[in-house]
Amino acid sequence: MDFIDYYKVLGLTKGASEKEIKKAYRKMARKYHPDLNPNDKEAEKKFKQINEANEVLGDAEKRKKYDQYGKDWEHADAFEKAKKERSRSSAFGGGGYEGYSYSGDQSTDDFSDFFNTMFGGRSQRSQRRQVKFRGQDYNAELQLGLMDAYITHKQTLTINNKNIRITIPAGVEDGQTIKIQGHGGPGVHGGPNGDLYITFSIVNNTAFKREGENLYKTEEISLIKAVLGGEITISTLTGVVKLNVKPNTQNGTKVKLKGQGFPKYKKDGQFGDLFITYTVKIPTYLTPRQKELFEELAKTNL
Amino acid sequence: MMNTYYITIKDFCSSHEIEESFVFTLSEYDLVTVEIQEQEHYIHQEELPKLEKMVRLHQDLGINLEGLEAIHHLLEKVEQMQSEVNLLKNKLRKWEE
Repeated sequence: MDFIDYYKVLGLTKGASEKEIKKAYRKMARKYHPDLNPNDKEAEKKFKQINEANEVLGDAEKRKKYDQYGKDWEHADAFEKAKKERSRSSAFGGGGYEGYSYSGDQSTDDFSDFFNTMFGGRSQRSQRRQVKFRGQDYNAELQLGLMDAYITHKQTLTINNKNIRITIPAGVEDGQTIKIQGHGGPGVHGGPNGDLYITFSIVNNTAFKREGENLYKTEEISLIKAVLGGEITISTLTGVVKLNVKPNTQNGTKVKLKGQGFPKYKKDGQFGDLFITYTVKIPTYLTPRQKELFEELAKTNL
Repeated sequence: MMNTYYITIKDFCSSHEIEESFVFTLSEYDLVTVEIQEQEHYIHQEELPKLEKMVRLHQDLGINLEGLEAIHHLLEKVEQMQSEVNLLKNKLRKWEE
């Protein structure tokens, strides 16, 4: 656990006046307020930090204690007391499904261990995203391999110790977010629950590039095959196919394999296409006999 | 499975400890839609996240209604741009080695 320089967090020095602290805090809150920085984890983290700094420096008693112990905070009485209540649980449980990593945001109300150790609990006075009616929205990231996004499947996630079973539709995109209504934090005074937003992070370890429902791959063919044509075998995402290379195929030629792409999102049974780009491999070594034959060819003005 | 329901402005405002007039002014600025049924004023559940965001910005940062309107439009633009960036990123990946 590290010491946190709350003055530095607010861009101030130790002798800052009450007015300066207030001003610095307000200025930074306007800059990093989560409502003004949607989907910005860094801003959210920063907002949390400045709130924590303000909670300490904006409160005469806490500030006095903080200034007094400073870097020797570990010797403060509070340390021993708080040590016992240190084990705090984060807002989200771990992944519910083997092989997937799953991370949610920490609650925006979480203060640092340093704060909790030095000051115990927190007061109600600082700005924070308190639930006033509708429950808090939760954001989570779910990491999938490309092949996991190939077939519609169900998965169980553990969120705040509750298991929920979600359907992951085939063809989901990297960075796509789905909303699961009512699975966020509880509302208060009869307000509805918040929603759960799951953003997919799709890791593509395959030889294919994906763009939506289409897949792309580069395939090397020999010079002879490019010139004379012939059959080649290539692997698609789920199997192998035989392709007929036409005679006189140019370097960079693209062929389309209809329906061999990725599933279309929420269009059951429909697939995109697979595009193969040929690169013609020029030999780097020729046997004397091959060289002779090429020289022979050269004479034909090829 | 969309569970749609309406919330009375009275309930919303008492829970937030704000004046009802705040919500009505927002609706005059076309930032929320207020519906009237049997002389009671309601907002749709779907409007709640937006409305609560306005309340927070107003209360936390002291932003006035003109400011909220401007922020609302800018945030819409930010979200649009974010999804465009995401789309372009996915397209670009095709060219990465």
